[in-house]
Amino acid sequence: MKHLMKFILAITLLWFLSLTASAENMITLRINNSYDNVMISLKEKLAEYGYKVAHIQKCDGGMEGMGYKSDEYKVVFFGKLHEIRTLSKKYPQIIPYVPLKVAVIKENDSVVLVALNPTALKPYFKQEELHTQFERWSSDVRAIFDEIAEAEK
Amino acid sequence: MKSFFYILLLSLSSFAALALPNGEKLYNSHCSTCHNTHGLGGMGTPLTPAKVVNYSDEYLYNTIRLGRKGRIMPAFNHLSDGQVNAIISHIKSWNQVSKVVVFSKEPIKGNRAKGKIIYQKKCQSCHGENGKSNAVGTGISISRERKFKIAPPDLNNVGYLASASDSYIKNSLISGQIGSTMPSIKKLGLNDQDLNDVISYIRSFEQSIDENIEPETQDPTLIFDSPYDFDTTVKNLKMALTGLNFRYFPDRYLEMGLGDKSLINTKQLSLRFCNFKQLYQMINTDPRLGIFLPCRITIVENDEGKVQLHLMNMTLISKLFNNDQLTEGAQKMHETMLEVIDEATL
Repeated sequence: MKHLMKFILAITLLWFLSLTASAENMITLRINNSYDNVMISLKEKLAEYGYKVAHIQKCDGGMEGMGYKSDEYKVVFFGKLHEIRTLSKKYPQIIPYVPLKVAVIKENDSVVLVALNPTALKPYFKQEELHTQFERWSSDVRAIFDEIAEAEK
Repeated sequence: MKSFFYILLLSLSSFAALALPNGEKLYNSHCSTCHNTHGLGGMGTPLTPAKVVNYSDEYLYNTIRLGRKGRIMPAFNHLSDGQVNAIISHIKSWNQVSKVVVFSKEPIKGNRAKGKIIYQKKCQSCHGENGKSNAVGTGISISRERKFKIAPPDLNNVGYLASASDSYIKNSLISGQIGSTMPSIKKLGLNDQDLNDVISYIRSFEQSIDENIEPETQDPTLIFDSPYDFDTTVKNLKMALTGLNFRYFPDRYLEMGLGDKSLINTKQLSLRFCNFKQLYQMINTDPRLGIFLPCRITIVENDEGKVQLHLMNMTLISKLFNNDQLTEGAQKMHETMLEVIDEATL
């Protein structure tokens, strides 16, 4: 009976462990450079890959204004007009996920870049065309982060 | 002939060296965003010499493989054994750890009931009731203020319990955690039997693992019809947001900034809003939150003149972050946004 209980416990643990999110859900990068330099590199690389920066949302200003301690924190919105126009018309469910975003977070002497890996959305969208698009975006964001990292060496 | 074999051997060993996984590169790609350069810590716990000296390779291996469910650290199940071992060697190399730490897998026997009493007196103020940490967020606080300099780990975490043997936990209790508020438990006047009792109680957390918050729907986007025209819907939403203490930002069209101003679709408006108190709490919980920011509802009028509101299913998407605290916050925000939409479309 004791062995059976242990076995059930082990199976339950294994099941819970299988629910732990995969490391592939986010695309991230840490760079040891100034915040401004990283912002410049990011904008340049996005442009090289054909993306336009639509908007930069400053998040730390509002928090500081409310009396909270916060280091620099911005969100860069980017995309390609034709993609966003076509996809939002054909698949309106994609609207809250575009334009794409990169959070740029200062941490002491380094800067962390974080993007949601578009392929992580695949299980929630059934359309094959969107899957192909997610793959393309994912590959671009990875390449952009890799090139920023490479340029720092 | 002899020299030919030497050259062949040399070439083969060079190829083998080239084929070996590069621990530094792997660490930089997979770990440094959270654990920082040279393990200084960030969203992830510090991996400084004082900490790593007490980690066995087995503990590190299991931690990388299993992750910490609901505490940001993902499960690196896509890496090969060689890659995981290369990361471990890299972490240990910069820390110049020569000591090989191996912990017994033998269970330690103790009195669970007595351990619970000790735990409540000596551990609960940081590690929380039933082993769920009292810290907001994980790792160390850098850019924002938090109660703990280093967040105490969840001792009831399924990944932790599967990675840490009883002997490993005992060693952690004896060593304490340099740089954090965790003292050596021996300094707290506890004897060996007390430690065994506490371990027995911690091990019992395996039987009380929390259920996850399950989103009501698996749809990534929630779409609501508005009975009003486009402008009235926008006006109603703004009023509802103000009533619920949100600050909304200037109007932005979905395509704005991506092309010629005169050609953008003005029937797709993203209404962006924020409650800075909630934002601060949630960024402290998980700095990666920016991917969600700012909160937004997009109002769309389609070709047939139908007005709809589009909203990200925050509870569902927050699951991708592997952070239960964030998911709890996202669920609350999700409910508030539904309230806003309800009021605006009444």
